[in-house]
Amino acid sequence: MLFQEAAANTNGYMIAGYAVAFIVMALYVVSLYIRTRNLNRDLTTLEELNKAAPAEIKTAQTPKSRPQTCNQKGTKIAPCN
Amino acid sequence: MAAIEVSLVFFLITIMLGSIWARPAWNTWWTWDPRLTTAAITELVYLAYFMLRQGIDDPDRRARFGAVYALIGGISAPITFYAIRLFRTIHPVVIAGGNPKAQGGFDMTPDMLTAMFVALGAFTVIFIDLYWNRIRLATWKTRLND
Repeated sequence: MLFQEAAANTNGYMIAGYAVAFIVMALYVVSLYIRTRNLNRDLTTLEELNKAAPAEIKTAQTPKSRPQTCNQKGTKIAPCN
Repeated sequence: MAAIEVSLVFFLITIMLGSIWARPAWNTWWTWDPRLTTAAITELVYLAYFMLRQGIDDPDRRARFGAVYALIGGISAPITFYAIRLFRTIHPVVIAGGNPKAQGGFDMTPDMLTAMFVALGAFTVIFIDLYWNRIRLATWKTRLND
């Protein structure tokens, strides 16, 4: 008992561990939030463009210029509406 | 991809916390021990996964190459787990490592096991939440690209 060493104080390391875990997770949550916000912004911009110029889009999709397929791969499917 | 991204964050936390634990236990922040080395390799393998995906433009090829790479990269996880059992190492075997009361034994005591299972439950919930949010983000991105 007399010669027994006292246990090392490792409280600082414990606090550092919690801090690292919370900071890294918080940074990831912030990155998710920013990416979601940017996507929403892009989506809103596209919707506004679609609303602002529906006439131009309709003239661009005349029966002559309209492609026979709707998807980008070129496989034949039902005509576009 | 969503699971790998969240796992990458969690594994980074694991490596950093291991380093913080190593400082008072081993008197060093980092040593090239088999467990630490294989853990660092696993983190780098999955970091490279995102670099691979960034480098391929065609979505179909990106998905196929990414899936194959993720499957092959998955081998690094069991290697990391068994590294301390297969090689000479200073890292303790804390799960099924022997009698915890034996001198020099490192297996977990009942109190440590309770703390571990509580933490495991809490982090599983956090993982599912982050994973769900990441999937939602990917779904929106796909819809926007379409």
